[in-house]
Amino acid sequence: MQTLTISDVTMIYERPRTHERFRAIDRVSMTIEKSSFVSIVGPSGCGKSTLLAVVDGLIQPSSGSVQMDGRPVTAPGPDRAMVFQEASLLPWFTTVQNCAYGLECQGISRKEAQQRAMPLLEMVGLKGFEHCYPGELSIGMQQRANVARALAVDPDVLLMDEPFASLDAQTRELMQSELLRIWDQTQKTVLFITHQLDEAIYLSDRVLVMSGRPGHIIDDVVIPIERPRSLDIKRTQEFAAIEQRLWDDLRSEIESELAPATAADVRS
Amino acid sequence: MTTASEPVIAGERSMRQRSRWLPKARLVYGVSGVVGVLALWEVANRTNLINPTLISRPSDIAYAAYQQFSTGTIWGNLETTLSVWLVGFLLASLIGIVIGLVSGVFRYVRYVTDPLLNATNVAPDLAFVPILILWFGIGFKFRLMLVLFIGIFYVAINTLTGVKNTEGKWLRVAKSFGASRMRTFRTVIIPGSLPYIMTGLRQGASRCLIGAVASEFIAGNKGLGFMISLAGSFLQTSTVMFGIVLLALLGVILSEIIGRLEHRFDSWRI
Repeated sequence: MQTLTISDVTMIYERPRTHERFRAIDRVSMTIEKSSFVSIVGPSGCGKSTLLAVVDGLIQPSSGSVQMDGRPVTAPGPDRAMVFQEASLLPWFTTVQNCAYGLECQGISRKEAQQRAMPLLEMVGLKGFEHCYPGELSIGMQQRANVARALAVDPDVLLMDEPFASLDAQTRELMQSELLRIWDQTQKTVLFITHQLDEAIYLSDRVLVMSGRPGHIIDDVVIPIERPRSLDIKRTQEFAAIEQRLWDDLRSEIESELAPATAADVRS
Repeated sequence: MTTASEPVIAGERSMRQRSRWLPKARLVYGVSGVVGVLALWEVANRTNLINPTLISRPSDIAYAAYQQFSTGTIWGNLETTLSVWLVGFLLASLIGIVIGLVSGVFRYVRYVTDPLLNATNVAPDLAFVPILILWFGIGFKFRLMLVLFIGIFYVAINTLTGVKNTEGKWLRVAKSFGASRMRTFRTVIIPGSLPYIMTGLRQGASRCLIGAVASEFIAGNKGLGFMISLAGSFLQTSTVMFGIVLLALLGVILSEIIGRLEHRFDSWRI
């Protein structure tokens, strides 16, 4: 059983000009079960992406640790793959070359990597676009390729950093149900970051709410809605009640974010 | 959805029809501009508005061109200039790209090369001529070195800028997938800085041509630069201006060739 454990992760940054130190995230802990879908919501700038980068191993936390099944994470590894925000495909590679990239990085030959990427492109609905450059794809298709690229390395955990943020409302809903279908097929563990409350509820088994800076977990909501879920559940009472609870959690955070900065912002 | 066979009402013009006419319009207006200026110039000359000894007529320049080509004297000069340009430019490109890439990738190398490149670049290149003559004499070696010297900084600085501007998000992708340093260099840094490198090559090519001509002004007994300066001292204005026209044409052709190369390299740029 592969579980992802985040324990007491704190991230402190220093402002380059003033050398003031500030806390981006503050003692964040969570345990994520294998094959579960967990979302983190929070106001913008609360350190959600920072947390994800720590889990991926791209940056080291100031204190605390991340563990995959008990083994500490210190660098990016093949057991985790990141789906970045928009436009992270390498523009000089075709769709299939992009999807094969992670495998090639692991030392698999170009030919085999591309062969293994092909079925994933089909799974995300990009059959026929294998040899297009990212610039020739719509943003929605680019994000599909992005998902396929992460899936290609067959990771245990998929880290998704607001992958649908730049899509229009219709495409986003479509991608949400596609993602659920893919998640169901692959049984990956997903850690999903978003600021869309309905997106988080619709997709997840569990939604964690992060406060404004310094980000820490202020609520942990299990979503009891049965799967498979159709988009219609977004209009049920149950859904609305959960959305209300999350919104209540966040309201005070967002309001304090709008208020002038206080000394708490810059305490080290 | 409506089909393509939408009835077109008289007077309706599709966008495509308009855009098909535009490139032609550019050509027509461009050519008429050049022809118009030449005609005015010729007329002004013939009516003695301009002194023909100082600025020759277009017809005289055309005659000078005819003479140069029919006697064949131009070929030797052209060959001399182009060969020193070609060797100098290739060396400048090669060394410049290597300096730019290495300085871009290794921070400590950059700390060393950055001030050197900038200082040498802002100093007027021709101020270095006496030193170059001192080191290399006044033969082919001197001319080659001047060409190399003038072109190399443009290539190196543009390449360095390209590496420095490689987008962080692409580097993050490489890091996240565990790409080795060499793979990151090959798959992200090189393609990411290619547009800058090509700009550097294009600027470098024309700078090198300046270097080639200047070196023949200073030292040489052959080449387009030598031809121009010799004709100038004999008041053969039309030959001088023919030389200028030829150099302009060469510049255009060379930058067109590099432009095409550039296009081949980044077909992904849409």
